Amino acid sequence: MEIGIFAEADMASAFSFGIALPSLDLQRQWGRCNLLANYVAEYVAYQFPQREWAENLISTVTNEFLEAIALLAPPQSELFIRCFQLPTTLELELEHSLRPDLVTVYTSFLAELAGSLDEADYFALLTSTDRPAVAFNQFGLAMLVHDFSARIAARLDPQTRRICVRVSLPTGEIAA
Amino acid sequence: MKYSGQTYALSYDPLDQQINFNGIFRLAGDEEVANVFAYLTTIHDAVQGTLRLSFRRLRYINAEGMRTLSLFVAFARGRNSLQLLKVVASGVLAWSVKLLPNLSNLWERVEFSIYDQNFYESQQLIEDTAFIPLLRNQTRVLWPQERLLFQHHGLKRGMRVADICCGCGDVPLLLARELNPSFVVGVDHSEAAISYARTLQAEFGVHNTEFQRGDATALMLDDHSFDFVSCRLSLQIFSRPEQILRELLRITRPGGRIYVTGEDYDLIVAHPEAAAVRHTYERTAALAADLGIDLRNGRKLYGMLNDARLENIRVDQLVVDTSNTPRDDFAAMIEQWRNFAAFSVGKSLNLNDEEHEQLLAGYDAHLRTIQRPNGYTTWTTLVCSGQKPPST
Ligand SMILES: C[S@@+](CC[C@H](N)C(=O)[O-])C[C@H]1O[C@@H](n2cnc3c(N)ncnc32)[C@H](O)[C@@H]1O
Repeated sequence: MEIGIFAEADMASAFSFGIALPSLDLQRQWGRCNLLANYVAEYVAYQFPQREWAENLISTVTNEFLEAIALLAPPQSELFIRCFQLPTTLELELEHSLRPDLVTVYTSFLAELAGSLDEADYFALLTSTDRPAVAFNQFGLAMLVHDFSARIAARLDPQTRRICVRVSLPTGEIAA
Repeated sequence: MKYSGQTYALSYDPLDQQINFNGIFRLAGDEEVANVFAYLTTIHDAVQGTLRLSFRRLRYINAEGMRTLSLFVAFARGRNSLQLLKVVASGVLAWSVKLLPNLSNLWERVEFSIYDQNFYESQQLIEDTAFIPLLRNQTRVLWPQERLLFQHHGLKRGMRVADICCGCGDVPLLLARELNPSFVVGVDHSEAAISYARTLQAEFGVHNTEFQRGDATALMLDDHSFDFVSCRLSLQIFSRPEQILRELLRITRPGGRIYVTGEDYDLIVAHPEAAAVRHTYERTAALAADLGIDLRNGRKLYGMLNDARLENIRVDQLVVDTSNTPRDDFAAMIEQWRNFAAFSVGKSLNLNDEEHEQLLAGYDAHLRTIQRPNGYTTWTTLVCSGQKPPST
């Protein structure tokens, strides 16, 4: 199953970054989402002239996904994070397993995000008095699309329930 | 009143009716959201008129943090007792510029602003790439003497050094290269200057230095974390330099030293053409004052450090003149000053043609003095440092 469009990695990318870890690390100590997001951001933002701006953006985006994954992934599964640059975008890729009960909600939410996010839906999530009934931070992901101009694509292998999510950030945003 | 989480602190300043958010506000669960919400609403109920939420020193937020803020706005709207809820973001923090404006859509009394856009009068001129050659030329003539003054004022091998308002970074890099500190950080608000500094760092091949784009009045640096903190030729552009000094003090360790330098245009002398040169710098100082820049601030530094209760204050005059400095270097700097005063400052103050020509002619007189083998002229800056009391 495929949502949105995947661009191929570009050999000319100024860097390529990859890291693997057990989802359990993030689940045991949730503060690691923050640490890891900041680490990825510091590494990836390094070659941008407006480094602080880039770092701030990349960390915010990465953190929301890591927080989502901490809730979505079964404990005993691996998470891969990759990052590379295309001519007009920065690509962040997160590959992980999904808990069986969350496959449908998550993929349909991603499909919604990959389509066009309704302004009213965004504000409904922002102002919801309760945390989302489904177990991941929907607003966080919506925020990336609405406020950071992120584009989302995903590929799911229904057999293994492994999903690969691609977040594309326009370089224009990073060099704002 | 304070509330702290693991990675953030919220504090309330009753003088400004302002809640300051510091650190990394990535909230974890319902309980934490509820605690923060309770803190915010308690303050809300004790305030009338305008309440400010300042995010100037909040490095990050997550979705739960944003949702908590939105709950707070809904609460304030329901209470309907505030006249205004001011949300203050920082232009250097991407998240704050992108996310916080959404809060204004939730209630018409939420006012969003970015505090560091046009936050001092001369910002457009000073944070421009065109300003960098001027700074470079100044450093070229100052460094041979200032290098020694840094040591005389207490900079020693192995120290952790911060240079605040570091401009294009040349001085922090020269310090790192020649005076063997263990680490140097340079902070400036200008994107152009910091980007230049990073390029220069690569050229110098210096590794123990870092540059940060940031605001000197809200530094993202820890308390008591530096042995030696400098702020050179910058306090003159701020309407409230003591705000900066407070931050310099905060990041200096007890017993560490704060080093500031300033201008004094009355101390620029020249011969011959003394009158033309004098008139030119008086005129320039007056024009600068119209932009909020004080080109005679050097003489005030001693009092400022004294008011801040610094100890062992030391003052030196750093005199660059045509006898101790190559005339071509001196002239190159004055030419930059001339263009900055007549074109950048002049344009922004809409000088008429006559005033513009007069200003150019005055600087040309100064340039002639420098080029004459018998001509003599000076540029004096004041160098002042003090020690943060060891017991604080
Ligand atoms: C006159 S320059 C001096 C630069 C440097 N110290 C030197 O002597 O070469 C003043 C510098 O202060 C910076 N600046 C102004 N406001 C600032 C702020 N709030 N925080 C940090 N830097 C600021 C400007 O960008 C500029 O680079």
